[in-house]
This record gives sequence, C-alpha cells and structure tokens, in this order.
Amino acid sequence: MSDSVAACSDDAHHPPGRISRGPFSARVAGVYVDPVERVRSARRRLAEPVESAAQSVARRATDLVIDALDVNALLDRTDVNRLLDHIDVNRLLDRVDVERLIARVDVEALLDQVDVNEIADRIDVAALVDRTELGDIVAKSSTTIFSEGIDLVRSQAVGLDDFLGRWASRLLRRGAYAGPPAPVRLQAEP
Amino acid sequence: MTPGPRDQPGLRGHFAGFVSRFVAYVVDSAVSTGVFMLALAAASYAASVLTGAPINWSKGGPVIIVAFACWEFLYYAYSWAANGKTFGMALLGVQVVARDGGEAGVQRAIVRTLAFPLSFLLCGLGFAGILIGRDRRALHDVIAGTAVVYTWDARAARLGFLARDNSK
Repeated sequence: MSDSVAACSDDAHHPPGRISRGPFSARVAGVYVDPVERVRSARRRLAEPVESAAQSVARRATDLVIDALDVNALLDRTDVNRLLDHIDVNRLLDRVDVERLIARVDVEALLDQVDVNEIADRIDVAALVDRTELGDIVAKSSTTIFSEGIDLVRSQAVGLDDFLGRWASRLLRRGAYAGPPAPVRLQAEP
Repeated sequence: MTPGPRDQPGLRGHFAGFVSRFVAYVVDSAVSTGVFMLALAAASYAASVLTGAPINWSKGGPVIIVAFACWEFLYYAYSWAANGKTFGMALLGVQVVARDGGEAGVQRAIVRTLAFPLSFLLCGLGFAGILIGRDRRALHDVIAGTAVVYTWDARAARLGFLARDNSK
C-alpha cells in the first residue's frame, strides 16, 4: 500500500502525529486518503535526483557561457567612469593600512633612483644664502674668533705679568703679593 | 686658595706688567717697520714710473735712518697723544695715561716719545722699573710723568704651574 495513502483503518494502531491528515483528506472505506500527500511523497522521492541533475546542467551552462564570453568586449562596454563614481574613495582609503604599506616600501631602492645632483642643481644657492643671512653669521663668527684670539693672547700676557710681579715681590721681600695697584684717579671706589 | 680666573678681580685701570708692554712694543715695531718698508717700496716704484729708474736705498743710509727715526717718532707720539695707545697697545689692552690716571695729553706724549730711547741704554736698564717698581713705570714713564694701565677686564690666564696659594 502506498505511503501516500494514509491507510489508517484504525487510529489506535498509529500514534497521533505520524499520519498527517491534510485538508483534502477523505475517508474511504474507513481509511483516510490524502491525494495531496501522494503528490508530496512523489515529489520528495524525485527531488534529490532532480536537483542533482539541475546542478549539473547549471554548471555546464555556466562553463559554456564563460567560455563564450569575451572579457575584452565586456570591458569595452563597461563605463569605468560610472563605475568609479560609485566607489567611495574615503571608505576605500580607510581600509588601507598605511603603516603596512610604508613598511613594504624599499627606501634604499627609492633613494638610489633619486638623482641628488639634479636636485642640487635646481637649488638657488644665492637666494638661500640671502634668506639665511649667512654673511652676517660668517662675519659674527669671524669677529668672535678674532676676539677670542685676542683675549687669549691678553690673558696669557697678564698671567705672565702676574707671575713676574709675584717673584719680584718675593725677591724684594714685600710680603704677600696683592696684584698691581692702580693710579689714584682710576682706583675703584670702595 | 688662589681664586680661579673667573673669580679674580678685573685689572682694568691697574698698572700693566712687563710682558704685556713688551709684546705690545714688539707688535708696534713690526707694524711701524713694515709700514716704513712699504712706504720705501712705494716711493721707489713711483720713482721708477716717473724717472724710469728705481731708488737705491742702500746708498742713502743716513737719509733712511733719519727718515725712519722721524717716522717712529710720528708713529708713537701721534698714537699716544691721540688716545694713549698704539696699534700694539690696543691689541694687548694697555694704554698710556698720566701718573694719576688722567689723560696723557700731547705734551706728555711727545716727551715720552723723546725719552723712550733712553730706556734702551745700558742694556735696557731703563725698563727695570717695570719689573721692580710698585707702579711698574719705566725710565721714560718717570721722565714724562706717565704710566701704562690695563684697559680691559684682565684676568690672569690659568697657568697651573704659576698658581700659588696666598695663604702659604
């Protein structure tokens, strides 16, 4: 007896819930018969092989379409500008990891391609010097060096003056040497 | 304990010592002699341009000596009279002043210049006063009534082997 025929002469032999009584079921000779259930049952039996066949067909059809597809022609018909208009560049950039990008840059190779001489030739040295007031700096430096040289010579001479003064005081037994005195009008006020 | 250079009091206005004055004189001698030689060379060149023949200075010995003496007198007298210092003295930071510290003046400058050669007599004995005198005056200073003082905030250089402790 077909499974689709809900042959249930007596409900007591079949627990409730196992046999479904559809809205179209009818009682024939004491047996509930659901014609829709029969169709459902048949459908269930045929579903899996049909799906399998359909997938095979779809796969094959897709391969055929792809093989036949001319990508260059497709791209020629594609309006790139319209495509780019749909792209949110800010969102795209937000997804870019700049640090990783920079880490992948070979700085040495990049610098090797830079012509430093050409860059130097493009620099206006005269204008640069004018902006840095290099002349004043050189003048001040030269003056400073000259002044420091003069001070050095003077200091050495004064040191020797002091040395000779001490020895003269010692030889003449003048007591502790307190340095040279000053003229009356040049003596510092106490 | 002897104070370091930064702690020592300045010597501006104090009597200058022998070494400072001697080095200043050496510089002045070099400068004045160099200028004189340049002048002779310039005169010889001018003569060669005008007359076609340079001047042979070796034959004019006495003339050269007199000219040099006049030049030296002018160099020192004018410098001392103008501001009390020659080029070498300005370099070493010393200045000629009157005995009491006032301005030397023209008269003292001229007398000092005329008396200057006297200090060289007797093997430079005239300069002994700079070493042994309390006010460090040479013979020509005494004659002219002048003295030489420091004009900058002199501080003795830190010479390790000359540093002495006043308390010892």
